[in-house]
Amino acid sequence: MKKTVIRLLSVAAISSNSLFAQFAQLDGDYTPDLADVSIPIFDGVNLFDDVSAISFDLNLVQSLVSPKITSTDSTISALDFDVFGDETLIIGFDADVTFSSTATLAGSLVRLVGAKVTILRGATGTGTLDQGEGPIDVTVTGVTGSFSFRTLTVDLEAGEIQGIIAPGALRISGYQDENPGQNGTVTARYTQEDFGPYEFPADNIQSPECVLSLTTTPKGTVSGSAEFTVGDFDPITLDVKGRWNAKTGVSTLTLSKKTVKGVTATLNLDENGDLFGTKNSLSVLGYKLKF
Amino acid sequence: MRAVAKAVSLLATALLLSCSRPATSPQAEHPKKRIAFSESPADFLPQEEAIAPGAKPQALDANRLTDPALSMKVRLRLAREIGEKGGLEQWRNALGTMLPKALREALLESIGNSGRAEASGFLQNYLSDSEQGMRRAAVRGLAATGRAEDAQLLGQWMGQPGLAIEESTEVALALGGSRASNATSLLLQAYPKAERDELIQCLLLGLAQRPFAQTQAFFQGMLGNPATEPDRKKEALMALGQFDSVKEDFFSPYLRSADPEIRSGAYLGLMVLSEGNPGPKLLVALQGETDPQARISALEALGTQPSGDPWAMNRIALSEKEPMTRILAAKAVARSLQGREATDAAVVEFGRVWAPELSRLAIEGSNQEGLQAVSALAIRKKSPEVRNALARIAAQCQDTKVQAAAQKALQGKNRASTAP
Repeated sequence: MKKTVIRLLSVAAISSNSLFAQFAQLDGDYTPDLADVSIPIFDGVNLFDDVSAISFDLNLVQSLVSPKITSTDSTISALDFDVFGDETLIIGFDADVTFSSTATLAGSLVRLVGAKVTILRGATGTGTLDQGEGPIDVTVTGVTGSFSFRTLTVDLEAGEIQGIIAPGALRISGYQDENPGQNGTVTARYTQEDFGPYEFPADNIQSPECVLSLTTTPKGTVSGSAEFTVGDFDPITLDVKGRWNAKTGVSTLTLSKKTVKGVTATLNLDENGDLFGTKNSLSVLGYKLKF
Repeated sequence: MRAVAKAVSLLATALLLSCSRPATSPQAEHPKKRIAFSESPADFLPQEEAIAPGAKPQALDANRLTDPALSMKVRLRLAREIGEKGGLEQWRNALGTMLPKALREALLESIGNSGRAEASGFLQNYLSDSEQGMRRAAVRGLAATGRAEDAQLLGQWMGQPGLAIEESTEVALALGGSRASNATSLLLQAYPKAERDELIQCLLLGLAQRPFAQTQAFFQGMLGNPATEPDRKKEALMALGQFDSVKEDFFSPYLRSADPEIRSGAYLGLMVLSEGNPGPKLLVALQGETDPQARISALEALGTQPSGDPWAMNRIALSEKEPMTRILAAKAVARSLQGREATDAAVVEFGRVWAPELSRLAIEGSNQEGLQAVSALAIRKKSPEVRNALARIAAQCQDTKVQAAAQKALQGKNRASTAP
């Protein structure tokens, strides 16, 4: 009885194989078309703007493992910064700053949420204080505070980045040159300001490339490797594991490797190695993309 | 330039330089409201100024919006002024003219700050505008009114089936920054119903902006729930740090989590805190971190927050073999030297060991390694050894992006040196 059942199952399996023989299993090199997958990359993006009397020079850096955008070698400069608005205290200063935000990609928008520019220690400058008896030279010894963005958004379709700086305040320390021993501090409040719009460089929006080398066993187990590249980043070699579905002819593949780049993907490929369906996903640079 | 500065109404709340009035404390004479940067943006928003329904709007010259002689920045400011200070008729007239998209959207969203009773109805009409940008501007405007009814409407609108992801995420973020009393509860209601990753991420970011007292139970619940995906927990921790919603100690238990994703989230949350001194905590965590990706997160965080112990950080950096982790560790060393004199032994050691090493790694490495190496060197750009290293990269690196970054770092120093 047992032998009969096994024989019957074997016949069924053979029939099944011949029935779906039109689906070729993946074996060889394949390059699925990922041209529709847009990945905004902030590495090396420079943002310059004059907001009232402050010039921003921000050089954005993309985190490798998260959607954090930070900055390197970024500065602000102030020229004729009118602290009181009544021309009593006018100063200029230079300061190094850091920038931080969380990038979220939703459709055609990348929002740099929580974006803020924080002034680092070491700001210096000079200015004049006029209390009705002529200008007195002053030296700025420190500026603390930050500029928080209410919004900062890249419109990928328009290729623009634009935002709003929320109202805030800076604390400015210094002394009169004729009396350097006495240091004082004032709070300068600023109002809301628009930031941009600026062109967002098209070459900072990249589509990944993925070359897969695959083999499929007669039992439908897919394995191999993938070379994954996005923008200027070094190619990453990922392990591929998957399963061929004899009914649909589609192979569902998982691409991953415990590397520092943190790239994972799920791709559904048809018998030609082309993308199939809408349940494909990619996680790279902290973005989670579905396509 | 003075005029520009004045035009934006920089207000001082206290008189400068106590030395100008040594006998009196400036605080006593001019009470200041010092801004605590740990305040969430929701707390930070200006108080709503109620305007009586019949109050006369300010007459503003809307014709200037189309004046090509004015810069876009000036016209944007004017558009916002019309939104905030104008009335129904001015809004209609201005939006009825052929204005660039950016101006129309700026004007529309600013109506939410007008304090006018008619603003809500006017903005609601634009939720069905044919342009998505205008619909999103109306969302921001309605969130800015601070009215609970408007927030409620947005909560319902966000839940519409088939709504574009750009719009549902706009609601999540706009409610996060709204003064409306029900904004937190609307976000909390929307969170379990959200299906798309993008919306879930924005709801978390929206919730992270709310006062922590209102969201503490939610965040602690989801972070403590074994069923919550580690990825989600990581996003929550990063969001709470991004908005300074919590203090340094909040992250301590998550630094000890068995899950590397959660530890990564804690490192990245600490990385962006504006207050406190999380560097030493991060250094201790890094010393015990074995997961490669979590290690990268810890190193990235220490590239922003000084570790407090440059020698310990230096030992770690020297032991790193992989070029990228070695560069990130060297950047953390550079950050740890912040505030130290040029003659400090740790500073001298950085110039002797890391300036040439980072230069080599930038020239020989990939584009990403080059950019990160320049970023590490730029922290110490005033040191002569570092300037030599940057000059070498600018001259010898084949990658134009890395070359440009090195040149920019060098120019930055020149510009700073012109400052008095």
